[in-house]
Amino acid sequence: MTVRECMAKLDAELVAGEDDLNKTVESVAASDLLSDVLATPKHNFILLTGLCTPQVVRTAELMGGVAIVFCRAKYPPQEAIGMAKVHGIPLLCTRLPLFEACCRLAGHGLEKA
Amino acid sequence: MTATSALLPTTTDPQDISIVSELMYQLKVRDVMTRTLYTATPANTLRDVQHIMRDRKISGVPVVENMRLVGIVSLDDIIRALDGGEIEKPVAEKMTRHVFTVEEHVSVVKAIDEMEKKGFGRLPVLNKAGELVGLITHWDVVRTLLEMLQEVAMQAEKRERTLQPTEAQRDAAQNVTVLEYTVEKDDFENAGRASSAVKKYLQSRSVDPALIRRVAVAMYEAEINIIIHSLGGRMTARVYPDHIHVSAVDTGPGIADISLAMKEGWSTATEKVREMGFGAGMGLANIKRCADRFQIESCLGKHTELNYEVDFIAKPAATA
Ligand SMILES: Nc1ncnc2c1ncn2[C@@H]1O[C@H](COP(=O)(O)OP(=O)(O)O)[C@@H](O)[C@H]1O
Ligand SMILES: [Mg+2]
Repeated sequence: MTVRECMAKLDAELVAGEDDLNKTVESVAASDLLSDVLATPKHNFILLTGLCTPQVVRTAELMGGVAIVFCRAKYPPQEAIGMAKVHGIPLLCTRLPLFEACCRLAGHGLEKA
Repeated sequence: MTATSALLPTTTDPQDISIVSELMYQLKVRDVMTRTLYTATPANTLRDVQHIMRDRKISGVPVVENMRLVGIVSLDDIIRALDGGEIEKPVAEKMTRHVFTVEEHVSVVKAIDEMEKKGFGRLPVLNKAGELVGLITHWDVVRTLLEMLQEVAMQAEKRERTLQPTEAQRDAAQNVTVLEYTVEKDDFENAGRASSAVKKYLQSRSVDPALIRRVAVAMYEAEINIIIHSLGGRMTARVYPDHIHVSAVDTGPGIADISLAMKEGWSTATEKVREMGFGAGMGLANIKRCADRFQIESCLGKHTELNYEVDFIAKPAATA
């Protein structure tokens, strides 16, 4: 599934990273704990989180995450957007809570994390 | 942000673009602000302020008492005082007391954002103690960015000229490249920058991405630990042809019981740190898992030193 398809399933708004929407997402990482994310063995994941800090983007960058979804309509700070642009990581915002966002992505051939 | 991002080159090597924009986000208000201040005290008259404005060609004068910013007088205030025959009155009676300020350690990007939101062309800058230390204007930012771009361009040129010989010399002489970073206590804004730089360097050496990820994840956890648990420290990455050695050394409280600290889920992190998504107590265990060799030692009340190595040959046991 592509980032663009995830975006549609989550009714998400694009904040940054238009050029990278066709990248392939292979798995989902969902957590409000960055250490949790840092411990996941998943590759090419889309990161769903209720956190909304630049460190979320840093975490995804260091792990080769494909895209980030901020849940419950949190809008990322400017530093996060800048970092995401530099590293080519699309940022999405959805009104859905974390759990419901996960459910929407479930069963589309994605591995859960 | 259009004003600043428009300055970025669009046709150069992506590596260089990323250096410039990273620099921009790294730039702090204190790096660009004007430190020469013309201020008034509450006891000065508005006439005094009018003279400061005329002599210094400025349109806003901060009012300071015991190093603290207590108000600001704008050109508008002076004109109104002249109109109303109140120009001999003390500043304290007419100054604007509610002043929007910015702290010296926040990023320039954030400061510009504030100026745009509030519709002001300048903001007084305070230090952590709340004392007035400078003034930031759009112009300060543009000037510094231009200087920075020039510097980056010069370095890129120099790098191009000298890259091959240095790489060869370095390898022949000692077979090691050393990358060093200072990590400050509570500096969340820069958290992960050292790890990211090392990652970028390893990519330039074409190290296997799965190995780079293990190096970077372990380094990020170690960096975060210095930020949240210590008083500050240094991270050093030594890159050899066949492996990398990373050390994280800090001064601080140290660790009383290392085997307890290594347990997943055990943490002394504060609630504030947890709200930021850190402090789950999984860091040290994850560093060990990512590393081929791992060692940690600590002296209670003094320091902590963590060392790990990752070999540049894929190991089947590697998970992260
Ligand atoms: N550099 C350090 N200085 C002091 N204490 C540390 C340091 N690193 C780790 N610790 C201690 O070890 C505990 C476990 O660390 P870690 O596994 O990284 O989890 P976390 O950082 O999420 O608490 C920390 O909560 C802290 O008490
Ligand atoms: Mg930790």
